[in-house]
Amino acid sequence: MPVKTIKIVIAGPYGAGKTTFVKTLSEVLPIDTEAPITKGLMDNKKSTTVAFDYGRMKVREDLVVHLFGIPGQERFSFMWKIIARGMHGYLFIVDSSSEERVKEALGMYNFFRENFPSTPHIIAANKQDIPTAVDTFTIKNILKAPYEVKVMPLIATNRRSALFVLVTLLEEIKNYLVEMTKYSNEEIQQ
Amino acid sequence: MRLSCQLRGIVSESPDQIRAVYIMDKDGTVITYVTNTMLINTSSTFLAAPRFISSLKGLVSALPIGGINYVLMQGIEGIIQLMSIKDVGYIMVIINSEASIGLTRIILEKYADKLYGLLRKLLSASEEEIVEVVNVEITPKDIEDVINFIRSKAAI
Ligand SMILES: Nc1nc2c(ncn2[C@@H]2O[C@H](COP(=O)(O)OP(=O)(O)OP(=O)(O)O)[C@@H](O)[C@H]2O)c(=O)[nH]1
Ligand SMILES: [Mg+2]
Repeated sequence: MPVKTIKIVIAGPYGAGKTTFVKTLSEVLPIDTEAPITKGLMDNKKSTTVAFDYGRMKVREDLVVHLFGIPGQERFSFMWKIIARGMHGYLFIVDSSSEERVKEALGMYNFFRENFPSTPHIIAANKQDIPTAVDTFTIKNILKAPYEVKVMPLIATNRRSALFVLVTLLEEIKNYLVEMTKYSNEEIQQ
Repeated sequence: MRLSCQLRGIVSESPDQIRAVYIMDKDGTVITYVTNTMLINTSSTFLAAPRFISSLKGLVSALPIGGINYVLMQGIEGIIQLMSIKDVGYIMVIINSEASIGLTRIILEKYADKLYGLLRKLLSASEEEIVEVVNVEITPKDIEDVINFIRSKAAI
């Protein structure tokens, strides 16, 4: 029996909250994350993801979901494409604590849009617990996200919030697959 | 042996940055390895931490391409760059600083064919086995199952 793997990528610039998001999810879902091999070096949380975060969730004997958080820093951009290849959908997380931080995400967002133009995705406006947080409408404008792309408020440290965003992304992926199936059926009929 | 000589070549390419090269079979058993301080040719097996190996396997199986590709991981000594050959085994190169990712990549690119051939010989796998791409179609129903699974686990 071949095992099906669903690949989901967690993208977003440096410090957006990707690691936090995967960590929060792994507290509520049976996600198997990487055994940390960085013992000692990470005692204060000011660490950055040099390679990537990884989580694996077994849904059925033959169905596994893989979560990949990619490194946000520009100097690791050569890895973005390698890691994202073959993904079914991605979550683009931005630090919404200020407009400046949102603007910093534009380059990476454009990179994803250009390289993966038809891949389903949603945007998460993280750190909504911060009083100065920018609203989702403004974020959509700054990132020039297409009309149909959802921008969801997120507090990555909050379990309910993280789960809600993940489920929303999965629904987007599902809708996309439904559309694709319809399309290919029409093609067959013609 | 031949194998060790080739590995030694890789390590000596950049002695201060590449710490070690390991060749493992698909269960994570190290078949042979070389470090920049010593050269060891093992027939005796060295088992890497099972949890580490199982997460490597998870990673590798999620990558959609067959043949050779790159996986990079953070390690005690910086970055561990893993080169995977789907379902057959792994080649792992350990380097000592994150600044040398680019360098390692170049070296791996340069040696890709050699390492690839090496592993194939070791495991007597055919070319087809190595490059086989397993790509099972995901359906809307699968995603539905994931959503329901999440709802049941997290009670939302
Ligand atoms: N207030 C607040 N802080 C958050 C939230 N999510 C993450 N943070 C903080 O933001 C900082 C960066 O979070 P990370 O999860 O490390 O960010 P990252 O996207 O993984 O960053 P890189 O791996 O460096 O690209 C950390 O100090 C987190 O504690 C949130 O929802 N609210
Ligand atoms: Mg991180």
